[in-house]
Amino acid sequence: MTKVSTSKNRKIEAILLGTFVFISMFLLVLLAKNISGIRPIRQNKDALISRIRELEQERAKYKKTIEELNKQIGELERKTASSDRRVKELKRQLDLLREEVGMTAIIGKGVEVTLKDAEVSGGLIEEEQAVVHDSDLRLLVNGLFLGGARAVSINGERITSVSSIRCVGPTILVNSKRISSPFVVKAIGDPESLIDGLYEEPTLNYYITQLFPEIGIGFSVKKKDDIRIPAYKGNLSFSKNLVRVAK
Amino acid sequence: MIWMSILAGVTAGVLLGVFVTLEIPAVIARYVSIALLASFDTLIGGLKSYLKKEFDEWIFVSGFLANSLLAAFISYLGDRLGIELYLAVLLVFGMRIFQNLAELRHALILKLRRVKKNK
Repeated sequence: MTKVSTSKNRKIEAILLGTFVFISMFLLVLLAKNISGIRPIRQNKDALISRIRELEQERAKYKKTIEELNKQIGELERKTASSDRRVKELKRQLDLLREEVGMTAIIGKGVEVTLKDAEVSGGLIEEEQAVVHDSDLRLLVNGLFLGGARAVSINGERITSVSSIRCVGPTILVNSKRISSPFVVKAIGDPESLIDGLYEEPTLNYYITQLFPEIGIGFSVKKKDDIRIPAYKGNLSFSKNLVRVAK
Repeated sequence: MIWMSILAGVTAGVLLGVFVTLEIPAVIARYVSIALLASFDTLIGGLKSYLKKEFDEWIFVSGFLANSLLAAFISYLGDRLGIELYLAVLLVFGMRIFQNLAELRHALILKLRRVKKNK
């Protein structure tokens, strides 16, 4: 079995060993380089997060500008309305429509519904179940409108006909703004019929009476006399295609 | 001679690796690293048998190829089956590397002692 090596054989063997060392080292260095090449993805992630923060700040700034400009528009409208009767009539209609679509803040009687993520104690309920989902909020908002709500907001975000409530990863976006638990849903309308609306919808009824208590999601309704719902701050225009279809 | 050859292999390998920009796809990078572990075991084994004057080029080359391919294949199979089979490969070749290193050390020390005595 054992081979006795001559000195010439020894030389060839040494070179053979060296060659394979070469191949292995080559691959090793290539791999090491590759792995350090993968790392930038994480750096990229941090960069993306800070970019998101930056853009959110920028958006807040622009929203303020929009508010200011809207104020100016209102003032100009008032000025022109005082001079012409026809303009005055148009302005009245415009104000009505604005209120209808949610471009004005509303104060009035209503209810305040609070939804809170369950506290996970590591029991039978999984974390995924224990949080408030976007679908829960959608159901709730629909229930409130069913009860005749004139205006609804979630954590200060006005719900309009173009609003969306959707989840992206662990957060919920309302009007493209990130919100988190506790979710305070305010609605203006007759408090009694608003609450009736919540229990009228069968799925929502099941959620409120059985599912939420079971999982431990906090649910409370308060009737209030002075609920203030802010105006919608986003853009209300539909996309061009939609407008064309509507025409 | 043998040390020169290994040194040359390491230097040339590192240099070439640094300057060549060949990207190993992330999918197979895992398997390449496992195969590398197996090949290092074979390299150390080869060096050991060289010092013991038991080196056989056929055993060495076939071992190099078979071990690294098998190691990569087993970890691939494990990934496909959802079992962490690569751990088995890691354990076996990790242990073998240490064992071979120990034997290499023994062989080296014995050799050095003999050289001294001959003087």
